[in-house]
Amino acid sequence: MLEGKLVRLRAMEEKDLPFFHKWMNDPEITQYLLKYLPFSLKDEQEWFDKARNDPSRVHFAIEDRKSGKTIGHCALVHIHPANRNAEFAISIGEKTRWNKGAGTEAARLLFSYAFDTLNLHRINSGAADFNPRSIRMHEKLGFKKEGLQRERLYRRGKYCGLIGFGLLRDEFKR
Amino acid sequence: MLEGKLVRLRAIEEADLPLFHKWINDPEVTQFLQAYLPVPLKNEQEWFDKARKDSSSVYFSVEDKKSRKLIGICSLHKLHPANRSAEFGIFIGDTRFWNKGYGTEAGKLCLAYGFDTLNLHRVGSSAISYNPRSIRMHEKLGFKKEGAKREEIYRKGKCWDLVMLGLLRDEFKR
Repeated sequence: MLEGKLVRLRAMEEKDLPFFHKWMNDPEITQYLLKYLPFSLKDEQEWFDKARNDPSRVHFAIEDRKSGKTIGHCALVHIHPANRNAEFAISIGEKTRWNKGAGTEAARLLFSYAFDTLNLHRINSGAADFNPRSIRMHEKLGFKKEGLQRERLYRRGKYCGLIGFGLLRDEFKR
Repeated sequence: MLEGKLVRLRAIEEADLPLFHKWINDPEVTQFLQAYLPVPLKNEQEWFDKARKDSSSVYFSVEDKKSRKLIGICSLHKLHPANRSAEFGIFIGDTRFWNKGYGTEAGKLCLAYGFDTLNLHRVGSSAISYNPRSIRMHEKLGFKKEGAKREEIYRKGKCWDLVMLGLLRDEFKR
């Protein structure tokens, strides 16, 4: 359990799946993620069973501290034991909590865990070039823009770029 | 079967596994790849059984045209049906065939297949910063440097950048 001011990170549980299922089928949310196909509750259950037994990733549910409600999910995936790096993923599914610092704080808690407990050296991330909110969040946390995969994603009927971000241990803005 | 002047690309076969197994355990070869753990022949067999059924990957064995001997492997993997993108991978395992244009020609045949048959829009690739030979090969094929993941790879006792490369369909130098 990782406690912030606004949010708390805890192990994801089976009871979170109906929320995740709803969010992963909401185009307003998935437009910013790599997901684009319909995703059944059964797929969600299988994903959960795989994820919770996979040592190369760590998943957390994000809870609103005040209400105790599940508002999102964050994770470190592709944790590499020799390179000491991982890929960052986050989504705040509860849209009423967008633009209020919940995501940034959840990421900050997750990265403290990544660097101080998992002993990672570097975190990778990405954002679609039409998502300035995510780009700003990454920069607030200390990420540096390291490149742009041109025309990497097909969204809204056209190709768009995928910005690559990297955060080294010493650059993390706690 | 894809025919060039120096090489021929064909389906990977079970008979290729002993050589793949030798190469994937040879540090002279793997220093330039993501692979770094010892790989038992049994894992190679499992990889083969998975790879040949995986619709998101296409693998080719690279043969020397003259001797008909297996000299390496190349692939397009993580084929994405909506983004029409893929990742490119190649290695020439028989080091006697290095620096003689065999890899570049194999890459050219593989990418032509990617664009003209698979109808890809973009191919992504990467190279560790101490591998200028690979970066040169990519540039000869038309790839552009799109950035670098700083200190992404730990090898030879320290961290190295991973150079990110991208090739759009119109940029491919045939």
